[in-house]
Amino acid sequence: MLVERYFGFFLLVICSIFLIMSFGLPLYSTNVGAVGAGFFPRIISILLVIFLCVHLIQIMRKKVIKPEEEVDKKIRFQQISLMVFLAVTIGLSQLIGMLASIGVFMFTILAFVQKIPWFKAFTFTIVVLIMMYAIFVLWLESPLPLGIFG
Amino acid sequence: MLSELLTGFTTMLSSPEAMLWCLIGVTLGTIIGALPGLGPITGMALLLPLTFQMDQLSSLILLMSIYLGTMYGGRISSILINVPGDGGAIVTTFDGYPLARKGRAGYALTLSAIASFVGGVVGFVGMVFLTTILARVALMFGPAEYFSLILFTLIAACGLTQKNPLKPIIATLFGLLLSTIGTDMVTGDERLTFGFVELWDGINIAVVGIGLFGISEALFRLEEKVSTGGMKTKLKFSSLFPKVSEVVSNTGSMIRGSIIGFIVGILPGTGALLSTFMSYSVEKKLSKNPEEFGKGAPAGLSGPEASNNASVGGALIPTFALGIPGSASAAVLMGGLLMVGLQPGPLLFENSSTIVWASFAGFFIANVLLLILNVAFVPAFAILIQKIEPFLIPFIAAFCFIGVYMINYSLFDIWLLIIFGLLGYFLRKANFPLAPFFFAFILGPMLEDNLRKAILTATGDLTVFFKSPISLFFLIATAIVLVLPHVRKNKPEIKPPSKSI
Repeated sequence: MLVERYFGFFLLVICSIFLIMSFGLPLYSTNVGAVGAGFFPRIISILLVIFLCVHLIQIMRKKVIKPEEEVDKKIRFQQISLMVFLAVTIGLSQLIGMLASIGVFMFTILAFVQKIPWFKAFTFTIVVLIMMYAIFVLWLESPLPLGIFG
Repeated sequence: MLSELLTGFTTMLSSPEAMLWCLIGVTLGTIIGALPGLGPITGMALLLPLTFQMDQLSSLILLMSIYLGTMYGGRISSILINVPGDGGAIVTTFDGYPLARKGRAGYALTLSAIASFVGGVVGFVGMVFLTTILARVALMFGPAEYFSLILFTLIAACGLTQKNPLKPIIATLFGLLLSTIGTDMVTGDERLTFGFVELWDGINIAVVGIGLFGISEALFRLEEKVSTGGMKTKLKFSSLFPKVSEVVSNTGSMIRGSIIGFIVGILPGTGALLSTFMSYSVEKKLSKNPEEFGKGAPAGLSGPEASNNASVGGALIPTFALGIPGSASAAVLMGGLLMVGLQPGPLLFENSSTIVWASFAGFFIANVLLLILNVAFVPAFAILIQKIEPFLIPFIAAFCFIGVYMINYSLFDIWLLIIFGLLGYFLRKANFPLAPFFFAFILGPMLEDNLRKAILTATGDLTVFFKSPISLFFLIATAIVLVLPHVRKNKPEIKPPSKSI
């Protein structure tokens, strides 16, 4: 229930920003009967703001708030770690190359976040990296960032 | 039509590359489908990047094979550990798992594989005959008719029979809104880009799909702690094959299930889940021993399994003929078609006829390969799934990462991937369905384009949508779909098992 409430508010804020931005776009174009660039986004964001308000009112009116399903702190830490390491991998890609940074990412998540034995984590990471190298570099000839190895 | 289909088979069988991708697709699809929680949408979204550098036929064959493979694979974990691979395999647990507990796992797996094959073949026949007819009808459609049809599809895909019909509508509208980001193709205005040059071309469909379904799945798997540990991997080879009489006695349920699945599959936004539940209830009503259902009734397994796979052929008809996906999985497939330069719709049969007919042939070949794979190699799949399950989360994330980079060779897209991954996760946490959002994101530009064309050609007259009988028909159908849940509020609800896609 709380997630619904907070996420509903978040969506309302985002849609309100889109609505405000859509006012900067022309509703109609100069041609007779032609719809402008702002017509569709404005109609959609107005509808969204209305429906989100109704949705939030419905949630707020419910007196009994269901107890939240407790998500284990350990799991929450794993989820945050996954997303943070994913973001860090973007930066690392430019520094040490994409494949190497994906290797670091996979090993870190497997060994330190999911607590899988080091040897297993290392072996799996190496196997996946070889597979990715074969698919993306050798076969698809993709120009992956190489960083300092370039 | 038949000569074109024969040409399709010739093209397909004479292309070793396409045949290889077909085999790879069905194998990967079966593995992905058998992994609890992973279904056709996630499977295709994850493997979409592989198709970027492939020729059009191979990429189409790969995606269709994965789609079919996941439908077959979903039943493996349903039968062996009572955990459905995806929504379409939920009903398989009802009688498949009890059969496995009675020591008849091999029989259940093979019977369901045969039923899936029958469903796949019925879907194939229907697809071959109906797609071209529908494509010819669609040539009569103008912008107003297309607008109304897309509107109907979006509303139908909302699944308004849910407990809270507002949520799918919000998800749909949000998808439509995000689809407007980028440069307006008519006026050249820059829309809702927040000053980011990278957003001028809009947000790529694959980035949204991979983020919504791939990354959010990785986050969810951490919470759900799915285990394949109890999966039975030792099956006697002789126990895999049911007696001919056992197969014959289930022929009726397979055919009924196939027809139900095919018809329901054509309807926008319904998908395999609804068709399997319908098939199950039909079989139970027709059975002389309804009390056996839920305890290992073969008809309760074969009917829904046939229905599950027949729905694929049904869902592909509007995708190919109209350019409007019949299900969320078909929407991902359509995204893949667009990425490789194929524009689904009535003109597809004129512009890329060879590829389309070869892909139809590939659909049939994939079914045959899947029958062989799913009968002979089931124990091998069960072992493989157990081995890779613990490593799946970083593997999914890493594959999403590199896959999204491959689209435009842009690190900005990976930031978008993270944003859409989080969006997908919170949408699912707050019980907003993802499929209508993704549907709307794909169909949004088409909806807007046809709206503008219709109004422009009618010089601003908004009644243009009511003047055309076809358009009026779809608008009335839309209104009925919107009103129907309020009229039938007392109907019992079909509940998906978990935070559904």
